[in-house]
Amino acid sequence: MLRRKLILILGCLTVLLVGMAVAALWPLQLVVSEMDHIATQASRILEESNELNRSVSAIEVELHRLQAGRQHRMDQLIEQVEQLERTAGNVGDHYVMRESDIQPTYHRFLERVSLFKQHVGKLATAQDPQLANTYSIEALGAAAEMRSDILALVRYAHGHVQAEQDALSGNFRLLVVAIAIGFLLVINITVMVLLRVATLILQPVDKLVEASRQLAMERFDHRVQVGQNDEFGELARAYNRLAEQLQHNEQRRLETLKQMALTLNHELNNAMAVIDLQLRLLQRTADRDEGSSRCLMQIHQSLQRMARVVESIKHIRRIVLTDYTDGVKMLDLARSVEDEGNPAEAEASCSANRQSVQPR
Amino acid sequence: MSQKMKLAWGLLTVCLLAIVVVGSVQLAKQLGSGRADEVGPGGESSTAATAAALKLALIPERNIYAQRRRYQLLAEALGGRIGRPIELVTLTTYLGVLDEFEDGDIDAAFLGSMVSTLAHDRIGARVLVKPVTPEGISTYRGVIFVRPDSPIQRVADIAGQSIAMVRTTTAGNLFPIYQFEELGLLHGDDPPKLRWVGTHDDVIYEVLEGRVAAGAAKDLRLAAFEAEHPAQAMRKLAISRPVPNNALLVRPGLDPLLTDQLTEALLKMHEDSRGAAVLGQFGAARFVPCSIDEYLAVYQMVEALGEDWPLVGVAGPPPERPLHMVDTQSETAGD
Repeated sequence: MLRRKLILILGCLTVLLVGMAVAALWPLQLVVSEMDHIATQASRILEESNELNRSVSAIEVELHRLQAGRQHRMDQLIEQVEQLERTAGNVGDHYVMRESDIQPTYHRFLERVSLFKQHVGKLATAQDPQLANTYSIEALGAAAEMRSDILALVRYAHGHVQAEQDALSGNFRLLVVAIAIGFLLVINITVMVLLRVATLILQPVDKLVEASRQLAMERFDHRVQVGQNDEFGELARAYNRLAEQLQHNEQRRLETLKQMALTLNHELNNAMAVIDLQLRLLQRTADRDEGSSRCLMQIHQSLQRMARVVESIKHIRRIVLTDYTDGVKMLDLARSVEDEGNPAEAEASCSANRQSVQPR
Repeated sequence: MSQKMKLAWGLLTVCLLAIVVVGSVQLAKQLGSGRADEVGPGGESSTAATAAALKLALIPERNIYAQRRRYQLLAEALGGRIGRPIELVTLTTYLGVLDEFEDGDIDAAFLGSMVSTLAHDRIGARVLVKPVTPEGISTYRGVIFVRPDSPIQRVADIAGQSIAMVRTTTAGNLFPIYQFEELGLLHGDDPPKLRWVGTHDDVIYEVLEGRVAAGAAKDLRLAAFEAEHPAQAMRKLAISRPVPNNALLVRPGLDPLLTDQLTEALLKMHEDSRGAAVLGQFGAARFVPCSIDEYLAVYQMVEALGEDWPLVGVAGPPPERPLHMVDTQSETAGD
């Protein structure tokens, strides 16, 4: 019922929020992966490209030292050449170097590395100083050519990395905007749904509170209309049943009072008629005695008042009590017969009755 | 806390403790195995790394990269057997080896026959062992050759012609100079034009491609070439007497115990499978003892040159034959 409705609504909201979070996280994850890719892969190619430059520089230094006769050992040179070959191979494994734009340059670079390696090999085996010098010059020339290729490779790698970074920035911006719009949408939907939920609860509560007020004012004919088949509907039906029951009880009490009034009317009217007749007879005999006339007049007025009271009881519309003494209530006749449309008349007749009802 | 929660926490604690214990044991095992010595069939020990490295020089021949890898394998195996690391030193020239030997910058070297005699004579280096190829060959000869279609029929016909040679080698330098000296070509009107190239293989290709009229190289390299290119067999004009293949020499001041260890390790290396595998990759079947006496042919050629020794192009005096070394009859082909 209401609980189920609330669970359903809140559940849907939760699913919506979780779905939105997942939808935001997934592209964010892709962006983070891309950033990681740039940080590792792209940086690796740059590092390896720079390593090529460093290797060639170190090799050139060794070649110059050999050429100048300041170095007779070739171990470092050979290791550097082999390292250069390995690094060149590693660079080729990178996806950037497999792109068609850079492939020719890379293949040419590999050929030059191989040629350079041969030059160094020849240099190593050249016992003749002139021959060694020739091979050394050839090797240095090959090193210079390799540098130009390395420069091209490095530039391409830089450009590629930059392009990837730019693309990533663009994608990230779009993603942020999309996520912001998405979440705004979700927030709007959530607000609307929560308002609807609030209405679902507050509207019947208002009606029930108003009904309670009406009940407090003893307007037992007030009914609550709640068109919901839930706890509020049940509460409204319970209220209506209570009001109906109270109204019924009130009706029964009024009927009882009316019946009592009829009985009083019947019993007292006869006695009051006899008393009134006797008073008239006494009035005739007591015309010369002013004191007696006054007494008889008062008795006559009291009798009239009694008749009015009995008459009033016959016209009770509702039961309104008032305090007689501490802890003792009595029927407030004026208000009980009060016409809700004309309260002034009832108040006037009430005040006369109230004075005579004051306890002695 | 409910019973179920207590049980769950207890299980989790036990699992964590188990992981810590197992992880500690594994870590201890790894640390322990890293410090343990490795002992192979030849008695190799990783404690070799703690002793000072023995510097072994090699002179580039043909493909320096492959050569270095072969020698590196040999050096590692040898180092393990003598309990001492061996550091390879690649030198640019044969004569550079002599300088490094003299300065004590290297302890041993594999040297060609001509440089071996120079090292023995000038520095007192000691010849220890020489490799034997899988075909059982432990020597080589110098050979002077031409293309099969060459008009040159004798060594004397090389007068005025170009000949490719390799410096500071018996086959590529000493032998052809000796031959020309014997025939009086060097001081003639039209001496041969000497063209220096890097390797014995370079000599062969210079002749093959017609850039020179003749060449002087090692017979082993020529034989290897002819085996690969049977249709391009060269015509041999002269062949020298055999001289030892690249032998191992040590400097005179090297610890005799270490010298003996080196010798024994190399002579016995072929006796176990691991050593045999290393030798196979090195290009040898085994090592055999070698002495300076086996270099008689070199000394004979040097002595025959006499005052024309400088024509060889090696600085310094010629190597002098040890007193105990006795002459034997020389052999030549062609002339």
